[in-house]
Formats: sequence, structure tokens, C-alpha cells
Amino acid sequence: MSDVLVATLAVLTATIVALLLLTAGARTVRLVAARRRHGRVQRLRPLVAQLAAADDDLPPTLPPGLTHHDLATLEQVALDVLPKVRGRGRSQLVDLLVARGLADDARRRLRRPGPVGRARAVLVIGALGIDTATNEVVGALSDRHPEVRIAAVRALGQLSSAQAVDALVACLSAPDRYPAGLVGAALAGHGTRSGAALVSCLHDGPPIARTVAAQVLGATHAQSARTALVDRLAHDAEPGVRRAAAGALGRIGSPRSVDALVEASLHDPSPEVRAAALSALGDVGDTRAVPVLRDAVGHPHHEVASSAAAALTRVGEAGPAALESLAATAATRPGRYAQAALAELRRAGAGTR
Amino acid sequence: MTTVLIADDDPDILELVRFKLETAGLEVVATSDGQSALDAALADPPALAVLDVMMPRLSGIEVCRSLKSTPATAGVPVMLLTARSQEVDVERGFGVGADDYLIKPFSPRELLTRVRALIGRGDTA
Repeated sequence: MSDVLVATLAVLTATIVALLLLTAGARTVRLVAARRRHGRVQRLRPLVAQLAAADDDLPPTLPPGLTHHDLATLEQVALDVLPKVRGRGRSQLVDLLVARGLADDARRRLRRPGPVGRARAVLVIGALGIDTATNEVVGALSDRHPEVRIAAVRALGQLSSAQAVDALVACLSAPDRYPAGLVGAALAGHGTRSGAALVSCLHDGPPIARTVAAQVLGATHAQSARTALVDRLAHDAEPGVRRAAAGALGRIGSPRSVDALVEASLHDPSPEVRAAALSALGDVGDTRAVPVLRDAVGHPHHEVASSAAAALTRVGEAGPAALESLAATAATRPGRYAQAALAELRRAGAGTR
Repeated sequence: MTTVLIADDDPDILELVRFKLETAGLEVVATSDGQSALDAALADPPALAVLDVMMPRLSGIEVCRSLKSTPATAGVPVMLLTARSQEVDVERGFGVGADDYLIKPFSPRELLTRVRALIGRGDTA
């Protein structure tokens, strides 16, 4: 073997050993850092709990002797706790974090080049509920990085200004840039404040926007949107929108929606919409729907028949009574649907007092 | 001393509830999963159980159902802690005998008020 080959092998071996040692060293450093951080979290969590649970009106204060690492960990734990509490506990934590400069720091970091830092800054602004930064968060919706745009949607769900609602509703019209489900969840966080903008979107938005608008109006029990939802159930060209409108009317639960739901359950061309209307009739729970539901248990489409049977279990005493009478004819198709629904009802009630 | 059992797999919430109740003069037994909560309650029935709904091993609903169907713990009041999206679980919880529920995010002060009402300790500091 030549000297050159031996030397090459020696260099290669030394390089591999050095790389292995470097990798092991880096891993050890990471593990030690993670363990130390875990220890700090364990040590500081009670302090954050104490701040969040305090009942006095004094400004929150920190004990002396906390290191730079302690303070950074405490801020992170407090940010993690913020979405889990409300009332005085939440405002105590917000006051502390704002006093520590987190809000100002986040606004500065919004202008930095790294998308991860910008996304985190947007999330901090949302978690702290800094409404005065709504403009900056709305601006982040146009960021070229999707993680920043998504963070901005989440943050706008936590800010209380009307501008935040309008910006979120506008996002519904661009589902390729903003996931519609995420925007819907953010809008639901605004409760009935978003009602008027969503009703407008019900009429003017693209199909996905109209669908999500109907779902959010239902989730927030927006009574004021009932007429608009009835209109969409009767006239929207998209079955998905009509289905969402039926579901929303069920969640709103007004007996005044019964006629519109009955009409859809009988005459809508889509079986899925008929099924949704029948299910909504069960949610409303008005006994006027019992004859329609009973007849629908005999529908040839599986989803329609099973939705009708399940809905009957939720309509007072008359619904289950209608199912009992159908179940008596066990050999028939409606009889089997009725038996299945009654069995489910008994299972659900098995643990009741 | 009056004992309250709390069960939540979120350590932040567990610590917060523990602190709030202990500073109000209550003794707290804290667990982070449903099975441990059930074991603790059966071994020494508390004056009240505060249960998260979504927990590992056993859900708060299942723990509540077991407590209410066991003679030794049937009288233990149960409060469910749940996220708003799990309101359907609250309906199921009442179905299996839960006495109260609190939706997350929650106010620590409201939690204590409800705990006092459930255990009938209006004199708790």
C-alpha cells in the first residue's frame, strides 16, 4: 500500500471520527439545554399560576434574582397560559408581558427579514390582544410566506377591532391564500360581532366563503342571520352552501325555521341537503316536524333515512314514539332504521342518572 | 380539610387550578390522566372532582360516569372543564351525572366561586 493511500485513509478516518464527535457533542448540548429549560419551566410555572390567579388590583411583580434565561422562560410560559384563562387572571399576565416589552418587541420584529420571527411576532401580538397593532397584522396577511399569513389569520381572531373582522371576512374570498377553515375558526372567535359582515358574505362571496360564513353564523348562534340563512337554503346554487345553511339553522334552533327546513327536506334536489335539513329539524326539536321526519325514514337514500331516524330521537317524546311505531315493523327498511336509532338512543341514555 | 380532586393533562391548567384552590384553603389532589383520577377518587372520595373532558387513558366523561355509578362516590359533585368546541361533551357529561361545567378559557375567580357553591363552603377564605 502506498504512503499516499495510507495518508488518505488516515485523513478520512480522522474526519469521520471528528464528525461523529461533533454530532454527539451537539446532541449532548441540545439535550442539556432542553433539560435545563424543562427545569426552568417546572420551577417558574407556579409563579405564572400565581400571577394568573391573583385577585388583588396591584400590578404584577416578579421576585428578584431571576436570570435572563428565567425571564425568557417565564415569558414563554405566560404566553402559553394566556389563551387558557380569561378575566382578571388574563389581564394580569398581559400587563406583565406588556410591561416586559413583549408587545413593542413583537412590533419591531414584524419588520425583520426572517419569516419565522415575523410569524412569531404576529402570534404574540394576537395573544396579547394588542388592538392598536391591527394595521400591522392586517399587513402581515399580504406577507409572501404562508406561515406569516396563517399566523396573521390566527392573530386577527384574537383582536377585537371591527377592522380585524372585516379583514378576516375578506380572507374568505381568497381560499388559496388563507385556509377557509382557519379563517372560519378565527371569525367564530369574534362571536356575534362578525354577524353583519358574514351575512353580507353569504350573498356576495364565492361558494367556499358562503359555506364557511353559514357555518360560523351557526356556530355563533347568530339569530339575526336567520332570514339570510333561510334565503340561502332556498336559493343558493351550491349544494354545499345550502347544506351549511341548513346546519346553521339547526344550531340557531329557532322554531321559525321549521317551514323552510321542511321545504328543503322535501324538495331540495340534493339528498345531502335533504339529510342536513332533516337533521336540523331534529336540532330545532319542534314537534311539527315529526310527520315529515317519520315519512323520510322511508326514503330510499341511506343518508336521508338515517338522518331522519336520528333526528326523531331529538324531538321531545313524540319523536321516539314515532320511531317505536316504525320499529314494530322490523322486517321493513324504515323499521330497521328506526330500530338502529332507538338502539343508539338507549346506548346514549345508558349512563344517565 | 376539604379535599378537591383535579384532573387535567395540561400542566399549566393543573398548576393554576391547584394554586387557586390551595390559596382558598382547600386540599388538592392533582392528577394528569383520567385513570389516575378515578383511582384516587375511589381510594379516598373527595368533596369535589374537577375533571378535564379530554384526557389520556380515560376521558372526564368516563371518569364521571364511573364515579356516579359507584355507590361510594355517587354523591361526589363533579365539575367538567372543557373547551368551547366540546360543548357536545358537556351535554354528554350532564347525561352521565355531572353537576356543573366550566368552559375554557376560564376565569380562576369564577372557578373558585363555582367550587365553593358545589361543596357548600361559602366560608372558605
